[in-house]
Amino acid sequence: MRRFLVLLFIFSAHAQSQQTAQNLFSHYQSALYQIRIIELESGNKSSIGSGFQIDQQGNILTNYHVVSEYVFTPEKYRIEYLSNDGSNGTLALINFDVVNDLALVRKTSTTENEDTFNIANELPGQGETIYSLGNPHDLGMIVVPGTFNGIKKNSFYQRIHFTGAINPGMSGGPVVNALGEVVGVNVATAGNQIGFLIPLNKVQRLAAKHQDEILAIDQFKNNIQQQLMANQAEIITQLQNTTWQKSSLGEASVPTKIGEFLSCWGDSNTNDNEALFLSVENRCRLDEQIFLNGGLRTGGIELEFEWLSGKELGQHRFYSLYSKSLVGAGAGNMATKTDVTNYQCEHNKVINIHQVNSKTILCLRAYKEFDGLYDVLFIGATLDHDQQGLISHFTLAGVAKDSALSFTKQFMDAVAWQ
Amino acid sequence: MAIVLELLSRKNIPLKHYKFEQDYVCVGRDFNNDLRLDDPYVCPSHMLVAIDPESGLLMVNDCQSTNGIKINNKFVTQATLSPNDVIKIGRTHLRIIDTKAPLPRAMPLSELEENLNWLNKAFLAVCLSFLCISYLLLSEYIDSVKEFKLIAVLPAQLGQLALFSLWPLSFAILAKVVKKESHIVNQINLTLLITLVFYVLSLLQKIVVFNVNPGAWFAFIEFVIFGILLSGFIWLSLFIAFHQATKRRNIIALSLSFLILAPLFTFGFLNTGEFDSSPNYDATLLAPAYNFTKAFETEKFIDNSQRLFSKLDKMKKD
Repeated sequence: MRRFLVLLFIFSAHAQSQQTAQNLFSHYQSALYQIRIIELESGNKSSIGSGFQIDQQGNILTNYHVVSEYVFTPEKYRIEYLSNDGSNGTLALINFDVVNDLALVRKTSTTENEDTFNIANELPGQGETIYSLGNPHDLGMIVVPGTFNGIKKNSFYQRIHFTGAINPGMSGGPVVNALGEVVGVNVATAGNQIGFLIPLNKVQRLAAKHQDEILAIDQFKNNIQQQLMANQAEIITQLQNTTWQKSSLGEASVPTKIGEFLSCWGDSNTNDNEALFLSVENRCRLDEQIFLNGGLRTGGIELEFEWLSGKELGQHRFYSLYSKSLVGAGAGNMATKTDVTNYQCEHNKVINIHQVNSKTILCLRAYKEFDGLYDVLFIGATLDHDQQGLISHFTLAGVAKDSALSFTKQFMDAVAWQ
Repeated sequence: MAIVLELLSRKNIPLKHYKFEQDYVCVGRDFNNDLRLDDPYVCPSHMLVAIDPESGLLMVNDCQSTNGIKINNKFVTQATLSPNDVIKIGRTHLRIIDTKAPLPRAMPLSELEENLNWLNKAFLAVCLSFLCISYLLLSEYIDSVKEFKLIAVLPAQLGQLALFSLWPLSFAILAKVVKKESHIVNQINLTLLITLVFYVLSLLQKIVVFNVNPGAWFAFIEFVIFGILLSGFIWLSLFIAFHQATKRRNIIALSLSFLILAPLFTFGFLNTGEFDSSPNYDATLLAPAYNFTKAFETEKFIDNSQRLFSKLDKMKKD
């Protein structure tokens, strides 16, 4: 009898979840939209995403990356919505948050009674079932039930970890709790049932701007620049203010744990029996980048240390290998000719405060459309040993001059011999 | 009075000359002629060359030939000749030389040619080849990260040496074609010597760049030195191969160097506008034994880096 009760309970829980999904869909489908970016020349859609209405004034929330084409070239595109009943209309851009990949758009004409989603007051509990809504691959609106797994660890750009399938086209769709209140917004997938959502507090912050006027076209880039400026200041300050935990790599002592939000990996060539040298690598990076447009990402950080030791090689052969290891460092973020200038580099031999001699290369490139933001690429190679050396390397994407220089200085002075 | 007829090639290069101690010369395909030409387009009795008894000038007369006589590409039946006129009968080119006209003075013997005699030693060629192959093998050894096997890399390096010898070989063949001495040993020695100089300079360049970290202007200096080396090399190769007037040799050497240098310059210096998503930096690292200059302090490096920002902001505006 008891077993039967348990079974019944499980069954009813499952039935309830199905019930909720059905309810949710029928109840809210009229507040769900497909967001389409229409290319003016061809008159057809060039990209799609999902969006949801949050108030009677016709404000709709979606992802920034869904409308990014319009933000960068407003003269070539317009934004449209397609509702569940097949009606469509144009949308105006009200505001956006590039760092958290959110955009607020508004219907240019509204009817008497509009369906809306309510925004929740707090995040659900760990393991609670939540429902992702959206329009994957332009197939029609669907509901995907999944589990709330808390805020992703090791991330500077906060994301909810959602166990459930999020597919292209669902971007910008809402994720709701059993009561139908929005707790997050679909943003990305890491494959196999792992999805990422923009958490509630970021959604609330942008939704609070629903009274704003329509954003003027000439303010788009300006807004992005200000948001990126503020974000880089915060991330670099956080990085510089945490104590840099040192650990040993070969004969050097290097900062391997800088900030909680970088994920770190290690590697070495000890498995290669034929190699005449030892290479030990330690690399940390920020897993997320800020999407600006199809060809431009920013906000990334990479730190890398490599210890090379070639006792069997002799100094000339070792230094030849060492030089080759320095070749070919590239940008950590994607960017095109229209976004950034070419790199300019400064080379020199530098002795740091711990008396470590290094050949030091600092390369920078500027963002053409965002004043005062630069990509930084740094390489240092120690020159103190005949057959051993430490390569230290980092890239920062989209930082201001002060951040670039002060971080570089701190990084250069962080390397020491044991 | 003598008449001298010079037989020329199609390109008017002298092939053979005939001297006749008489006042007239008959030219044709017939064996009765003074000068018999084996050319099917020449009539049995084609042309008469004579000295005008009154003026003493040379004259040609057409003997009613089928194809006529052309002087400097113009048909004539009778004409007085001036020096350097090229006469064409049938397909044969001739020049008729006035033995009274004075010849230019002899060219002075070149000091340089005497001074280059030491290049003409086979032993030197052997030594230089040995040096070159040693350098190639050594740099191959230094560049290797895996176990070094001499037998495995030797063929490739010998091949490279053979490739280098294409240049002296082609000059030797060209010299032979224009009936001069080939001077193959001199040419090989010159090529190997220049190659070695080039190797030494490139090693020096590495050491200088690593120690001084000069700006972009240094690449220009390197290019100029390379240009001077290259044009000097071409000039000397020509000097050894052919007996040319200095002006002609200068022009050939300069234009050949220009042909080689112009594309290099275009790619290296004018191509900076192309977008490159990776930085272009100097990765040379040398062992402590080659590290001669003092290092900057971190503070100074950061200060120097400030100028990158103004450079970038300027680039952005362009």
